[in-house]
Amino acid sequence: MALIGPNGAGKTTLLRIIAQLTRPDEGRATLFPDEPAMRRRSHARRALGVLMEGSYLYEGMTVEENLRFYGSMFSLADLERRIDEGLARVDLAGVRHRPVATLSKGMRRRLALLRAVLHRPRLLLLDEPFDGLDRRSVDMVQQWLAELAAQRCTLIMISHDLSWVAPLCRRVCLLERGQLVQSWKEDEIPARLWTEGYGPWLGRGRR
Amino acid sequence: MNSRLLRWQRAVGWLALVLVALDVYFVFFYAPTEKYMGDVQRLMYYHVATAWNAYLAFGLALVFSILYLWRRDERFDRWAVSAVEVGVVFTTLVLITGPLWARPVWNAWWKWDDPRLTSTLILWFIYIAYLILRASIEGPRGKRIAAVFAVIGFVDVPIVHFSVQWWSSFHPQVISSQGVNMTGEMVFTLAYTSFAFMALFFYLLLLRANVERIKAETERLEERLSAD
Amino acid sequence: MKSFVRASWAVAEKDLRIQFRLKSLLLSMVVFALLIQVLLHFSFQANPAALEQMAAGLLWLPVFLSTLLGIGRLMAIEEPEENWEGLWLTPADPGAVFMGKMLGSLALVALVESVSVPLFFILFNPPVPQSFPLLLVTLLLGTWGYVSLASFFSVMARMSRLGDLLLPILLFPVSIPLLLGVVRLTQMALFPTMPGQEGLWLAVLIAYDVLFTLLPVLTFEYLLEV
Repeated sequence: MALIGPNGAGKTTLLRIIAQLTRPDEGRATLFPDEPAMRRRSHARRALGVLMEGSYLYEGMTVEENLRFYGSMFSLADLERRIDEGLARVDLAGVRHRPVATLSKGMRRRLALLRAVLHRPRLLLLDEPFDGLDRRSVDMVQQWLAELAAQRCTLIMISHDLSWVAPLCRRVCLLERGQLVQSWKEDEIPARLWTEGYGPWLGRGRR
Repeated sequence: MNSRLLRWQRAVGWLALVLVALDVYFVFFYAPTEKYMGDVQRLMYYHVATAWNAYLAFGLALVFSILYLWRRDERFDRWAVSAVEVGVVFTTLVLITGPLWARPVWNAWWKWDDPRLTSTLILWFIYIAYLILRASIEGPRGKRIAAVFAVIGFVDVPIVHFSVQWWSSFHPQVISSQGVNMTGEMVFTLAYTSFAFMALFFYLLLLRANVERIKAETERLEERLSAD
Repeated sequence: MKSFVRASWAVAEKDLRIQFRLKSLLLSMVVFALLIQVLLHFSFQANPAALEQMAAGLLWLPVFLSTLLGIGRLMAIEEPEENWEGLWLTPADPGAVFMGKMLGSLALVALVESVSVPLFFILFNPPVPQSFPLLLVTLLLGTWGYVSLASFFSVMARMSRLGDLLLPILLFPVSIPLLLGVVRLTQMALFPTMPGQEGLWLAVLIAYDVLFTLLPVLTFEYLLEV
């Protein structure tokens, strides 16, 4: 699902509320409401993958050390294999032992994404995942996200550039000034949206 | 809620005024002059009364802080910060009346080996720290963190009290284990003064809590105005 | 329980790994501790006769003050890239995260002590300690309690506008009982004095350590919460 809308629409806030990082002023957001086990915070955390403004990476450690750390924090089994596979998938195997501080922005983003999905979350929340990436990285990330989506992972993404998320979305939600203006399901998404942007739909606030 | 709080505040305020005014008679006329220390000893009534009420204040702050952490109702935080502020005022009074009483009696403003005075000073520092902490972090996070500090601080209070006492011992045991070293009139005066100051404490608490409530409402209104 | 220990250990190991690569923090803390010792010597015009009164202070003040300065840097590791948020999003118990930070800090402070304590003996030439085991136990208990509260309050302080400046304001009043216990016990350990009170003060220190490790572990989630 893609969350789109102009600046200040509240997309990031909404994502943070879903991630349980911010408390809403009114109402509540519950993850996996049908599963009682998810009420325990540690369970819910395992099912959640988050990549937002902060990369959650430690500059003073190497790529591998960062992944190992989060692997321990998530108590992951067969950590070695996951790291090997993951690094190969995002083409970072070569810089495995380099400190994060020396990586380029594109590499860091890919590493941050790898960190976010290392524990195979069922729900992945991404805030502007493609921002600032070069063409090659964008392709790699798109491909990988598509694979994850195919493997029954739910993605909720924020992006200001619709072309990046177009191939991945089954549902699009347009937000404006903190409210849901319009929501389209896969087959309803108008072609105009991808080419002309969401401009025409703004200003039609509905509660 | 607001008018009810204000009504309580006014009622308790009048009660406190009457009680404290009457207290002057008790402290200065009814109670006998102490044999050894003279009239200066009358300060003791204010000194001890404010001390007990300060402890009451911080105890209430603990309760409100725990309630706030549990329920996250902003009202609890308002009561907590009000209790701490009034408690700090009372503690300051204790720290002022202490030396004023001590100087003529022991010929020194401050005695480090007086455990009660020292632990009161530390108490003062702990709750000043609470106020600074709460004021220097914005929003609900500041209230939450201050509440945690209030809990830790209060747990520390008895430890400070006993450890300072074991370190040295000097404070005149007014109410010691053998029984009260005071005459009946003195005991009554002390009890009455404590009660009068408790009324004063609750009046100030309500006053302060009202101020906090008005502040919070003003902020909410401002937010709504700026959002539109 | 096991995951608690594992998570704490992971956090502590991460911190120490980063610190040992840099080395600058540890070095600065050690140098600072030594400078304090020299400063104290001159400030109090210490002479051998007064040593018995001054010894505990000369031993502990360098540790207390260098911890005060250094611990903020350790907590600061989590600040870039929203790492506190990242830790909050792991399934680990927030108390375990605290223990990890605390144990990492403890290791660093212990290293500082391993230099400053022997140097105390060299510089100030006290007589052979009355009870070496008591000194060691005091060092252990005192450092543990102090570092635990320092770590906890440091995180609080860094969240405020005042930053690290708030740490001594929060820490000093609350840690007075620890200071009293530690000074008394150090005095007893170093010099022949009237016996009997060690049990009392050791009990105070142990109770203090237990209480002020448990409370932070239980309430750290309120700090991490966003």
